[in-house]
Amino acid sequence: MAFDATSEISDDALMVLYANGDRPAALALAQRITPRVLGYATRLLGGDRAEAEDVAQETMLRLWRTAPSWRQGETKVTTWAFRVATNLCIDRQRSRRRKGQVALDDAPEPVDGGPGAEGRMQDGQRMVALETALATLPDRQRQAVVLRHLEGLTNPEIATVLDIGVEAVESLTARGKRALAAALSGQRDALGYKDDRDAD
Amino acid sequence: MQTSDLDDLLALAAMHPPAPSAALMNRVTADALALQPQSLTVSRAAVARPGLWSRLVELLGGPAAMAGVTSAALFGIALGYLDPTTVDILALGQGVDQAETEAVDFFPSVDFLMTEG
Repeated sequence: MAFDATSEISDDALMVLYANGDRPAALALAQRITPRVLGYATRLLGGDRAEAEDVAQETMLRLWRTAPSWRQGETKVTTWAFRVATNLCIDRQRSRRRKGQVALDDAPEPVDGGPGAEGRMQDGQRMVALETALATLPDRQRQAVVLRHLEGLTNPEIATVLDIGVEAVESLTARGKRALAAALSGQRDALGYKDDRDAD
Repeated sequence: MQTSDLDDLLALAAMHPPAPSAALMNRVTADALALQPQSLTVSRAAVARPGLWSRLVELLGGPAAMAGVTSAALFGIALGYLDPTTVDILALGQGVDQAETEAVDFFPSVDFLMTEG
């Protein structure tokens, strides 16, 4: 099968194709799932890019090993991957805490696009502020907010990832958003939101 | 910060996820190909048709049946080529003379029952 032909195929079907030795399916799955897991892990780990890459690679490694016994229709591949990544991130956060490290040093990647250099710089500042604010949230709230608002998962999917009920997810995301707003409350002007609204 | 501002900020972050490096993608792809099960291919040797001799043996019931048929055929050929005297010996046993065969009357006392009159 040609690599281009895989764009219409579901993740589930790609897993089956991968398990049957289809190379384009392997490449397509790697390109679909890896960026999402990396983004999620980066935000859970406070922007620590190196650790997030390790988590992404380990998650994908487990995905390849699981593929031969994958059951279509039971769980979405992305949900499964987020769940594995969540557990790996929790392990690393515990390890960090044992070592007494606080890893908030890594700034997010520069943001591409935008109206110009000034806009990109402001977007970059906003991303740094968001990463910093996210890092202040309790782990469960951070996981729920990232999955809901940055990865676009539904509440039932988040419930599966975090192994909790849907009502608990709603509670976590609501409290997480309130905590984020509080953490960013003093930076509204610095992040240019007042200027944006004045311009409108 | 207002809720709408936070929503804008989250939407902006969602649009710009951290991009994976080429090195990470290379490692992930290498893992994928290294762990990928091999595709199932059917080799010609696996589906090669059995030869004429094998099919004939199977048709006759397998090697054991073939051995029996061969033995019977060889014995038949041998009978055809042997001298008839030898065949008599084989059939009746060496030294047995047909003229010496005795007739045995098992019911000698009932002959009168078969007499008319």
